[in-house]
Order: sequence, then C-alpha cells, then structure tokens
Amino acid sequence: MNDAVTQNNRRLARLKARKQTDAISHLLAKLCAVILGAIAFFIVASVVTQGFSAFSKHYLEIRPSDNGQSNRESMGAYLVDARSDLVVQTGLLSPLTRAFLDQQKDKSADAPLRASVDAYLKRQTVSEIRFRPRSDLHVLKMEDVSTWRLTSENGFGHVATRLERALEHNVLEFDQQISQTKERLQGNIPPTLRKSLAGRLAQLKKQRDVLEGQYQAANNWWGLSEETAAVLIETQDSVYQLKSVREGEALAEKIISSPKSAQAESPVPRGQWRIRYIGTPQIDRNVSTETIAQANWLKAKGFIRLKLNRELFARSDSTHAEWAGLLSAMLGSYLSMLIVMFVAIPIAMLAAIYLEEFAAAGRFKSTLEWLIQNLAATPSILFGMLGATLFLNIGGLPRGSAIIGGIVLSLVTFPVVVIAARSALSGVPQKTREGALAIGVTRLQMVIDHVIPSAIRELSATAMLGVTRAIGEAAPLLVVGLAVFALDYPKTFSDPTTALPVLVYNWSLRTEAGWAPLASAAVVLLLLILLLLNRLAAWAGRWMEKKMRLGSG
Amino acid sequence: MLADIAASRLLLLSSIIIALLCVSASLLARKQALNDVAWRQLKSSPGEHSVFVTFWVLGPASAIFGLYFLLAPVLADMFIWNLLRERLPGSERQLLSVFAEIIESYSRNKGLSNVLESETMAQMVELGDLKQDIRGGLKLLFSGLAVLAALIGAWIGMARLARTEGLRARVQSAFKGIFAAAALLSLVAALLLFATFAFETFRFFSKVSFFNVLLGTSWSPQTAIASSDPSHAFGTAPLLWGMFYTTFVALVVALPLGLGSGVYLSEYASDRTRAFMRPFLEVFSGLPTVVFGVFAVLTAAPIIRAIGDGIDQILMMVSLIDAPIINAQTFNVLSAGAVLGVMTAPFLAVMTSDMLSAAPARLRQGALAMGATRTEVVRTVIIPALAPGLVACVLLAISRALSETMIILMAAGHRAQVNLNPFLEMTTITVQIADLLSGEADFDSIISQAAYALGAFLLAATIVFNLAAQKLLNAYRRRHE
Repeated sequence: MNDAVTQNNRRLARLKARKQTDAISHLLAKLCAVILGAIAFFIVASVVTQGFSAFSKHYLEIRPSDNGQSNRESMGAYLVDARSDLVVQTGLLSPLTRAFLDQQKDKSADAPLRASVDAYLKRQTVSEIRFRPRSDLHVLKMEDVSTWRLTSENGFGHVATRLERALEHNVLEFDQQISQTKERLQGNIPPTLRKSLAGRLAQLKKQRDVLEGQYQAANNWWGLSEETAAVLIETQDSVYQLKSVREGEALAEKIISSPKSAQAESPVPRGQWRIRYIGTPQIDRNVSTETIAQANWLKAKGFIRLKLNRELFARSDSTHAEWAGLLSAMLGSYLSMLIVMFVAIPIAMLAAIYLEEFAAAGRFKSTLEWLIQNLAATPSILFGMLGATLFLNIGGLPRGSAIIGGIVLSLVTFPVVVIAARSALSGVPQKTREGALAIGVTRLQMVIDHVIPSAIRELSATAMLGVTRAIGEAAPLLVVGLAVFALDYPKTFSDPTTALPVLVYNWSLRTEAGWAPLASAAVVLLLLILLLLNRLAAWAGRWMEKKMRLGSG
Repeated sequence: MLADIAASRLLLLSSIIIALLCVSASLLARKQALNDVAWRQLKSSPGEHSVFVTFWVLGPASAIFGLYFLLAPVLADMFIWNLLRERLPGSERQLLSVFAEIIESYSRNKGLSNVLESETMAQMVELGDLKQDIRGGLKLLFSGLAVLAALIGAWIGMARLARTEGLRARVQSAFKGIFAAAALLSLVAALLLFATFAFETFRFFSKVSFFNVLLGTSWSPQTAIASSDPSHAFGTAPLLWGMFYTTFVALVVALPLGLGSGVYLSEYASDRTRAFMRPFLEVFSGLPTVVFGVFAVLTAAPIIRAIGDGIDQILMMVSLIDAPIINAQTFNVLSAGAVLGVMTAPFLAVMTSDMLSAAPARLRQGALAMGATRTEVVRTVIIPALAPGLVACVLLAISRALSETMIILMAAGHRAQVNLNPFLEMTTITVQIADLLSGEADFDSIISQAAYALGAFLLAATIVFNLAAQKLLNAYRRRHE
C-alpha cells in the first residue's frame, strides 16, 4: 500500500518535471524568436531614424530686401570688426557654397550650411545646455579694447559650479591614471616598459597641471580655453564669449553685435539674456565656438531655416556632404533595373516555363536544374567578375556604366527568378493541365491560356522578387566599376554612374560630418522603393488575374 | 553623305518598317486562315497562322541585325588598321593602336585633342571621316539587307502557309525552341563562369607557386607588382582565417537565434503569431545587405569598440593587466560577424521551420499519442528524424554567410592579419576581391588574376557546401518516402 503511494508520488513528480521542462523549452524558443524580432526591429528603426534626419537640412536664406540690397549685408552688419560679409568670412559655409552664392549674385537663394554646422543645429554632435539666469546683466567695456566685463548678481554661479564639476571629474580621472601608473612603476616590470611608463606619468602630470591651471584659487577665477567647456552669453543684440568667470562677474569677448548697439547695452533685464553652456570642448568638436554663436544668432533672427533637403534629390555625389544627393545613383539604379526587368526576368520566366512544362525528365533537365540551383547560390560578386571579364575586357563596354551594371545584375537575378517562377508554376494544380489537354488544346495553349493565368499572381511576385534582389545588390557593381565618383547624372546607358546600394557603401565609409545620416537616408529611400515595388507587384498581379479571368470567361 | 547616315537613326527606321511589315503579314495570314473556304477543316488556329508568318518575318531580319552588331565595329576597325599599316609602314603596334583610338574618338564626334603635329592630324581627320563613311555604308547595307530579308521572309511565310501540313506542330516546336534556348542560357552562363575562373586561375598559378599561396602568411598584393618574384605576396592564410572567423562569429549568433526561432515558429507558436512572424522574417532576410552593412558600420561597430575599450579599462582598473590587451579597432570582426549572423538568422529560421513543419505527421501524432509533451516530441522524435535536413539548413546558412560581401566589406576592415582577438580588423576573400578589382583594374595584371583565383576558391567552397546540403536533403527525403 505504502509502496504504491510512493510510486504514484514519484510518477507525479516526474510528470511535473516534464511539464516544467516543456514550459522552459517553450520559453527559451520564444525568447530566441523575440530577441531576433527585437534585433530586426532595432536595426531597421536605427537606420530609419538616422536616415530621416538627413531629409531636412538647415539653409541660410539669402533674400533681396526692400531697399534692393541683399540681406547678406544686414547679416554681415551684425558682426564686430570690419567683416562686412558674413557669408564670406565664417565657418558656416563651405567654399563650394560660397562659390554658389557668388554665382547667384544678389538673387534670392538658399545656401546649405556646412554639414558640421547642420549636424550641430540638429543637436547630433555637441552637448550643450541653455538657461536664463534670474538676475540682470550689466555690461561694461574695459580699457582693453576687446574685453568686456559682465556682472550679474547670481548669474554666473551656475556656470562656475558646472565648470568645477567638469574639472573635478577630469582631474579625478587624471589622478586615477597617475596613481595607477605609479603603482605599476613600483612593481617588478621590464626596463623598457618602465621607461615608457615613466614618460607617460610625466605627460599625465603635465596635462593635469594644465587642467588645474584654469582655476586660480586666489581670487576664484575660472579660465576658459579651447580645452574646456565654452560659455556664450546671448542678449537681444549681442553675443559674448566668456574668457574667465567667477561668482557674480565674468570677462568676455564680444563676438557678435548688432549695428544698433554699438554702445554698451546696459543693464540687460532678467529674462532678456541667457547663457549657453557648451560642454564639449572646442578641440573635441568640428564646429568652432564662434561658428556656433553665429549659427544660433542667425537662426534666432530667422535667417537660418530647417527645410526639405532639396540637394538630396536634385544633385549627385559631391565632396561636401551638404551638396551631395542621390540623383545619379537613383538614375543608375533605374537604368540597370530597366535592363533587369526587360531582359533577365522575361528570359528567366521562359526558362522556367520550359523546365516546368516542356522539358522531358532526363539527364538534360536534371543537369540544367542542378546548374541553376548552384548559380543561384553563387556569391554575387563572382557574377560581377564574370561580367567584368566578358563585357568589360572582351566586350569593351564602358566601365561603370548602367548597361554593364544591368547585365551583371541580370546574371545575378536570372537563376533566382527561374527557381521562384518554377515554384510558382508548380503550384498550379495538375488537374488544370490535364483538363486542358483533355479537351484537345496544345501544350503551348495549355501553358498560355491555363497555367500562366492561374499562376499570374505568384509570377508577378516572382518578377518583383527578382527586382528586389537586383536593386539591393552592391558587390557585383563594385567590381564592374559602378563605384565611380559620379558628379553628374547618367544621360545614356553608357555614361558612368553609380547605384543606390553602392552609394550607400561609399557614403557610409566617409568619416566627415554629415555622411552617416546621408547613407542612412539612401537606405531609407531604398527601403521605400522596395515597399512601393512590392505593393505595385501585388496590385499588378491582382489586376492581371482579374483581366485574364474575364478574358477566358 | 554616308557620314550623315552613320549618325542617323536608320536602324530605328528599318526596325519600324520591319515591325509594320510583320504586323501586316500576320494580319494577312489571320485573314487568310479565316477566309479559307474549308475553315472548319482548318488544322491550326488563325493565331497560329499569324505566329507562323511572324517567325518567318522576324527570324531572318533579327539574324541580320545580330550580325550587324557583331560584325560592323570589327569590319570598320579592320579596314582602318589596314589603311594605317599601309600609310605608316614600320610603325610599332602600340603607336598604331593610339592612332586607331584617336580616329575612333574623332569619328564618334568626340573632338580631337591637339597632341600631334598638324600633318599627322590631318591624316587622322581624313581617316576618321573615312571611318564614319564606312560605318554609314555598313549601316545602310545591313539595314537594307534586313528589310529585304523581312520581305522575302514574309513572302515565303505567306506562300508556305497554305502548303505546310502540321503548321500547328511547327509553331509549337518553334516556341518550345525559344523556351529551351532561354533555359540553355543558364548552361551557357555556368560554362562561362567556370571557364573564366578556371582560365584566370590557371594564368595566376602559372606565375605564382600554388603552395606559397596556400601556406603563405603574408597578404600584400600591392607589393607584388614591384617585386620580381611575386610568389610571396599572396599568402592566403590571413584571408582564410578572416573568412573563417567572421563566419564563426556569425554562426555563434545565427545558430541559437535561427534554430530557436525556427523551432518556436513551427512547434510552439500559435497560428496567429506564425501568420504574422513568418512573412516578417522572410522580408527581413530579403532586405538588401547594405542595410545591414550600414547598421554594422554606423551603429554596431562603435558600440562594440566602446565595449572593448570598456573591458580594457575595467581590467586595468582592477590591475589584472598592465597595458590594454584588447585595443579595439573601429572596424572589427565582432561587429561584422554579429551583424552577418543577424542577417543569416531569419533565413535559417524560415528554412528550419519549413523543414520541421514538413515532417511526416505520423511521427508527431504517434509521439503525442504516447503522451509525450511538445518538447519531448521535438527533442526525441522530430529533431533526430530530421537531423540530416537540419544540418543541410545549417550548411546553406554557412554558404550564405561565406558568400556575403557587403557587410564584411563595410564593417570588418581591410587589414590582413591572423589574430584571435575579435575586436581587431581582419579581411576576407570577398573583401579582397572587391578591393583588388574596384580600382581601374588591368585585366592582365597579376593582381586581377589573384582576385580571380580567390573567386575560384570561393566558387568551389560554396559549391561544396551546396552539394553537401543537397546530398543531405536527398538522403533525408529518401528516408521518409
């Protein structure tokens, strides 16, 4: 009796354990799927969000003003010194843009800002904080011509605290490294390492001293330099850059002033001025503090606006990110897609019809099948090399043209489409074929009138699959020279051009500011095109199905 | 006058004439079929009549056009070369080919660069004009021939329409021929592929010793041009190692994610989840690989580099090491491999789930009837029964990872080195092919031949993996039929 109970209990325990294992396995498998889905979502989301920022861009608006003059002069008048034309002087615009503006004379024009400034204005690169102190600002010109003394009751305390915190953090880091190095020097280490460590220690100490030098303990002054945070004081009419600061007062250089306020504007009431604390030191960013001041100033005055990135669709590749666009790549992809669509895909469909409907089973057919399967799995870059030998070297087609791109992509697409089209055709039930043949039609009529109409939706999806595959391929195009720096868009099939995925590859490897979002924007465009094509193929499939039904009915 | 013809759209005009001829002939044939007194005894449909005539019109004409495109440039070139040899006897071949190029560009109306003396230049201009005349003459000749051939074809076709028995069978076999020709193109492509790679590889190994390439440890193709003995510049060990390492990292990511998701999809997921998830995975695995590449180089690589630096700092902080040991680089194998794995995983998941759900129902039903839990069914019945198929899936995934270029090209770097540290940049076969050939490649240089040799290896490797996968799949199918 007792025995039976324990046995039963044991059985129950085992059942419970088995059920637990089942639950855990279920959970593990689900976890895999969820992780995969999450990663997929993250990849697409990160590329898309990065890409969308490149669809808009900051432009400097040059407009003729009422008195017939361009607003270039009025913009320039805000600057100190004799620098009359802001457009020519500053880091806001690249030489290319200046040349463009000179061409435009004084006509109305939108000049794209330097990509680094644009990235700053989009808050992608520099960390900064803005705040409005709760006290008035008094401005006093010092005897020294370029220096201004700013006083404010509790205006600069916050800045001093932040500087102190940053300094503490940096000095602490250096101290840590110094003590580590010292410790290591005390240990038993080879002489060569000892020498290099000693050198490093000296360097660390020096850097630390320089860092600490910005703080002069005697009178509580904080010095600001290129290696520290930068602080801008913005009032209604001028911008000051702080040179040194302490609780209650600061010494500054006036870097922008409006023509109205040649005299000291003092005092500035609270709420009418603010502090811009730029945490990233100038040596660590690609925009100077002065440029930042000017960009913000012009933006506040309405001269700089965020607009749709027109160059992205209207221009081709460029050395400057703000002038680069996708036109050449889009046209190159379009032209080579034409070749794929009108050459590779129809021929592949015919081949699939032959293999599925006409070829008798035998060695010939199985050889072809085997070859096609292997061709479909061949790395696409090898087709690029085949195309390079046959059509560039022997055939003499122009390197980097849309026609060689189209041919190479056709080679890549052909086996894929054959396989997909065969599986589409084999999905047609056998009774359709037998029924047709039974009423005495020929095999050709059976294929054209019965098999293809019943598989037309799948066949249309297959054609779409081919285009999808071809439009995203980059590797074979690199080999046949489509990576050329295409400044102009292709006018014929033999002009040098590039393709969207190749451009994505090129741009993503350029390290200057602005290229990474552009590469992502090109990816976004590619994905949008794929989505559109997908919908189009589905719609076309349905339409043709309906039409063919009506025709046969 | 002939020169004007060369620039004109005569070919378009003649094709339009031929097309009109074709349409009218086929309409005529159709009408003739329908007008036939004995139309009820017609053995072929009116449509077949018109197709028959169409073939007769278009066949010869397109053959002549094909001949024109093949022959015309060759003929014009030959003529000019003969003239050049006559006029400048004893000149070197290279000089002549420069002249030929100048003539060619002049005859294409691309202008002349004034690099030569005026006398030679005048000759070039004369020859250029002559070449244009020749081109125009050939164009006129061939388009005339094509129209003539179309006319004769139409006449013959119409004449044969009434006489030919079994018109239907002829049209059938003509169509079948076209279809078969399309299918034969794959054979041609494959043969050309094998021949090209075999030929170039042979040329490469006639200059460089096979064992040096296979066993050499230094890959520096750029030095090969300068040195007299290029044998030691092409050690492939770093490339093979890079390829192996990235694929290994990819598999570490892809196997659990892909197989796990595949099992979940086919065994555990509800129908609704499956209906949503399967297409999602299919779309995701079909995304262009540059999408993954951009992610790898812009997002994943910086993150992984930061992780490497972080590990270094932590280890140094706790004094386990004296100097950083990881030294992460901007381009690194880990980011490329991981993203490659993420790209392969959905592909593997879809294949696995297809494989598992196609398992014979009796296996699953039998096990469930014996009281096994779902996990036990999968683990003890389905997976052992499908093992060859699953291995085949994994092999196909490996083959896909091996042949992938863009992700690695963008994220894994270009420096050839053999190292166990996954935070360093390494290079692979596909990357080196792209690097070697993406400049202005000279097809006779040893560098481009090296690229083709690498390509031949890659081709062989993927074919081996695919063959193995197919063998396994066949074995599995035979077992369950």
